[in-house]
Amino acid sequence: MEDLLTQTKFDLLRTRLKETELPLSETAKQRGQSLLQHSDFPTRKNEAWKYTNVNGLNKLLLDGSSSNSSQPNSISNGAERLHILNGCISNQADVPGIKTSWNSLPELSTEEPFDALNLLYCTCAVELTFDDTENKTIELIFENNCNSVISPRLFIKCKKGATGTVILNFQGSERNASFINVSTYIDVEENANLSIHKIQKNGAETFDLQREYVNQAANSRFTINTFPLSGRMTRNDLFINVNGNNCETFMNGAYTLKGKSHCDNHTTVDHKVAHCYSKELYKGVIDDRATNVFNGKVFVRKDAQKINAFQSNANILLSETGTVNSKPELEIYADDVKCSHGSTTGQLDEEAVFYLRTRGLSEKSAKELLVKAFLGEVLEEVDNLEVRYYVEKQIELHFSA
Amino acid sequence: MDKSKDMIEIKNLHANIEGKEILKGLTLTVNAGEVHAIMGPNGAGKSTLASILAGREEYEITEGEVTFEGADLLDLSTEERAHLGLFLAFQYPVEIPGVSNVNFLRTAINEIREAKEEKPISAKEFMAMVREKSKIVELDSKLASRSVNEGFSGGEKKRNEIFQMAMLNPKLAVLDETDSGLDIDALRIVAKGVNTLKSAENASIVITHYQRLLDYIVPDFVHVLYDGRIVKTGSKELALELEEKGYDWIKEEIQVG
Repeated sequence: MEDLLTQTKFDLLRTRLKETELPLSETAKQRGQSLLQHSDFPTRKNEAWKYTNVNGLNKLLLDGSSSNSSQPNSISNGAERLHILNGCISNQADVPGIKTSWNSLPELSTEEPFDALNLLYCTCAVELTFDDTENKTIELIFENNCNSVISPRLFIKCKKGATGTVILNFQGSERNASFINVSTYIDVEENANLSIHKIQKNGAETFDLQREYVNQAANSRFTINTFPLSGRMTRNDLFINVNGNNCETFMNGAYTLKGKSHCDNHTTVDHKVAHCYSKELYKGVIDDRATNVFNGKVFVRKDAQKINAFQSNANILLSETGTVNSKPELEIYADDVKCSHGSTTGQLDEEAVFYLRTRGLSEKSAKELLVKAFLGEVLEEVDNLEVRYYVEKQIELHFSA
Repeated sequence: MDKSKDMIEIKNLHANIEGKEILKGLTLTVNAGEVHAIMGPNGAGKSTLASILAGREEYEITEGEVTFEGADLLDLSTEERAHLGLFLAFQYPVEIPGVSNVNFLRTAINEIREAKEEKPISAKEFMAMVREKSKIVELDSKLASRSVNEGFSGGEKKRNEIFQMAMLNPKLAVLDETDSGLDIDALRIVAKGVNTLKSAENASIVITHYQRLLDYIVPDFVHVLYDGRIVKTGSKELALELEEKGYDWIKEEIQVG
């Protein structure tokens, strides 16, 4: 009975959201609703959300009225582009490989309440398909300039033997206070090679919750580079199932936090079968009162022999008041594997700062140079130079602001 | 003494670190065009002097003053001192992974130029300078563009210090035990670099424990630093005397005096 009487935080949030106009099957709708009715916002008692509090979602006003585009930055020159303004597709072009109109959205396939919320209040759904070896680049530009709900549902399919690159370019106006809630389903088929670059340059008051559900088939290669650069709160959940043999998986992340920003990267790689390689490198700098959470989990299942899995997280605190909670986790059930993980959190090398200052660099530019060098290790992993230069520039702007 | 030639004037300098007094009234004047050697036993305060001149913040100055080209040096930040033309060659140069030697030098040169309200150095001019100056210390141009001191041998690190000095063209260079950890060949190259850069407009303070370096860098004055003060000043022959007799006779002389 209690269930019915108590208003949950999800109930409260939902009163302010607009139901999706996209076609949903009755079963999808019911499943989503029932999942949300039996859930509430995660609390500290929930291990996966121990350090991340989403209660602030209910304080967002979300009262923005539609607004015109103000010429967003695109990253890639040669890419097919889709412009999504405040959650809605604004250049409805029919391009092969980009599907934006639907007869019915796919059913809900997770038990995750925020995924259900994404579906029921979906503002746009996009399916990207790569089916040849051309290595086409598709850039989705999410321009957010009014305080609204942005709830895209993305499906990325890299077909057998195909190669593709996706840039997810989130950019919010400076003080933007939106609620971004993205679900992305990714299929990397046999012998396929998919790279995703995700840039989260959100407005200072924006909450951004994103989930990627990845399935990798045999002999495939998957790379995801994540750059949470600004925003009030950013939470990324990355789930990668490595279902086939001889796969390669690369996860890189670089983050720059200041002010009251909170950033939480949760990653899970599940090595279900043998002979695979995964490598994860997340690095970031934390200033002011910002907080960062990293949780990286690697499973190596019982019969998944000959796995090489490497994971590393490194943080630099630029202030006395910043916080880092870093938790690397390995769960290994096979006996012939090579896995390592590591996590470090420290300050900038004061001796190096002094050395640079004796050469005439101001304290600020000395620190900036050292921070860039620290994050540079991640950026060197980014083979797409347009993305790399864009992110480098954003990091520079972060420090000059 | 012609006052206009005064480059740096250190007067009655007293300094503490963690409550322990290291410098106890050090006085020294260096003029343009001069090379001064400071020698002394371990713990005399040699590296402390270098650190204080460069602006290391751990030290507390309790008394005295330092005037550099008319400016109150102790009032300036480390980088402001560099902008005015002060350079410290480190006893232990720092390794900085990921920061390229030439990139940071270009930033340094431009910040110094900006402080002087000069326009930034062009890429072409800069690269020509790198080529020219790296030759002085026989530093491989590949090393010049690698990460600062990362994976350099002891000799390469010290040569890199002198390379940076050549690039920044300071008025006053303080060389803190630049000879430590160097073999004879490296020592000769480093000394040659320092000698090549010597001019009537600049000066150097060479801090060393051994006389060896002074065979290659010939000083105009040799000072003995003992227990936080300059206790004896002489010509380059004083260094030879110290090498022969050690520091004990100085200690005795002071106690007698």
